[in-house]
Amino acid sequence: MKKNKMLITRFAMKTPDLEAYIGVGGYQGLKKALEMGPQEVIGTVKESKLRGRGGAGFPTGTKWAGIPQDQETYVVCNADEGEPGTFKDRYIMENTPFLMIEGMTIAAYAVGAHKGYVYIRGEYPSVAATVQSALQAAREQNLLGGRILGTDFEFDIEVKRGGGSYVVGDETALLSSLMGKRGFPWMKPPYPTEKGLWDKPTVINNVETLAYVPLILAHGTPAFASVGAEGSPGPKLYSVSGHVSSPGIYEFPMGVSVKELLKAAGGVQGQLKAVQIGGTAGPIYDDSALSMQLDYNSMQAAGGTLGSGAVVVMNSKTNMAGVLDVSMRFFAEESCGQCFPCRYGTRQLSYMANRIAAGNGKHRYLPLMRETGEVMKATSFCPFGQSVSTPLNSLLDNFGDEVEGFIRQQNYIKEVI
Amino acid sequence: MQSVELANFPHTQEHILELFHEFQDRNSDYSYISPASVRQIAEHLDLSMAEVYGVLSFYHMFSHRPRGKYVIRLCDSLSCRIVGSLDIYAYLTEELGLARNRVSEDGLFSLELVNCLGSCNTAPNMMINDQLVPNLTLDKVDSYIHSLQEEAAHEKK
Repeated sequence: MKKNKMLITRFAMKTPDLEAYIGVGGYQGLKKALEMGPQEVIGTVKESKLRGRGGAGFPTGTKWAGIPQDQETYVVCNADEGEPGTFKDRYIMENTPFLMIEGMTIAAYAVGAHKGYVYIRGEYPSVAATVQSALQAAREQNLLGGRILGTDFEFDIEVKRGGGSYVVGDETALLSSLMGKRGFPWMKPPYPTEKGLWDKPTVINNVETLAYVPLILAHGTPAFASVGAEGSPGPKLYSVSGHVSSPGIYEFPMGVSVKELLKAAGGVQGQLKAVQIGGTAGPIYDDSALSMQLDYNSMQAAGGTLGSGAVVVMNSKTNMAGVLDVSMRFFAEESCGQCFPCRYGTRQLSYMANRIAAGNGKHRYLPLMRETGEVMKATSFCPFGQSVSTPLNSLLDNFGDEVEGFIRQQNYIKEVI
Repeated sequence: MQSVELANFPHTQEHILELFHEFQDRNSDYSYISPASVRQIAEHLDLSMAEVYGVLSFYHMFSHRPRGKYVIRLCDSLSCRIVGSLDIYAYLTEELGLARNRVSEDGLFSLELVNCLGSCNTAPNMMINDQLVPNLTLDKVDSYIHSLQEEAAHEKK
């Protein structure tokens, strides 16, 4: 794996520097792309079967091919990394922002866009500054702006900073925010590729997705597909945090087992108890998660999701009533409030979870919480509210006895006192 | 409070978040967007004040109420919670006398709990204004808070 040319981590530098990036093979992908026609570039990305690394896993080439020709078009990079436990996009933008910029430039060439936006979450001010200076360096070397690399191709990128909102990580909500509105998601279809920014066709890709694009162009699709799993080719960045000795970003072929990933992260500190995979909306597993394989199809078959590739590790000292409280509070605070089931349901759930964690829980809360989650799954407007039941049910399935026991014990203490 | 050069911003709504950042950062003693700022933004973008408040109130990082000179955003998402964010919270509130979503009596600090600062490999984390403070310990929190207090006392003289 170390010798694989396809790795993002191979390009990581303490201080991003354009010359050094070019020195290790940067901008070979764009050069190759400009020698091909746009349709050939789309064909190559399609052939690589690269899937969106933001969480949904949609095939990138298919998305690009959905852009109608001869219309004003935009390319947007989703750098609103708000998924708890995820810090891979920060890693890319801090250590090798040029991969993302080169990927966006290739995307723009492929779909015929002249203007791009990087929407960086407000909590990353230093990252936004790093990307700004990388963009400036690229402009000075004629890698952005007019006549890129001596061709007729024109493209430039503007940085937009978010204001703190999880929901804006959804592609349609992000477009609302980019246009200066409340970050409400909208109903699809129409998809952004048909009607996006200011009703113009718009390609939105995650930072990590775009960062793999130059490598695919430079080294070809066989090299990309030489690693990975059935239906999920290529390497992937995994964010490992919680009770491991060396939390951090690890790049592995898709399909790596949780066990191998945790070994790379220095092993579990103490006795493994629970793992949450894919972000806050992902299931909370017990130690059976160790044998799971981290790729789109395997995780889906296991009833979960690969999501952003976040893996949060919890050891035996973790209080699961506290975990319940944190997850439900997250949903309540980040619900955009647009639809009733989510706005009200998340608050009810957070209220009950908080009562439980604070020692004021009632046994009837647990079935009531499950029921609330089911109603939200059936009736919420967007995937945010629909997904609350996933972490909730899995936590109660795997650790319900512990939470029940916690409620009983706290009530007993109060009676005795 | 330094004024914001509104002339640098086109009159289109897409720039509203950037304007919020500008106005809030310049208002360094209170870290908020005042009614006067909202009026200026509304006039610049040809929106009503209600429309500007509508956008403003959606985003967690912006405040229309005065805050402390230093806004402390303590991360309390799962990765931080399981390695001690609540201990840090207890220290900030019980030992240092801060309260969630309140301005401290000296006007220096506001404390907010936030969801994931995207630096989970260095948990627990907080931000003080624009600066990420990673790998928090009680000692580290203590020294940051005290040095900011001393700096402020020094500035007063």
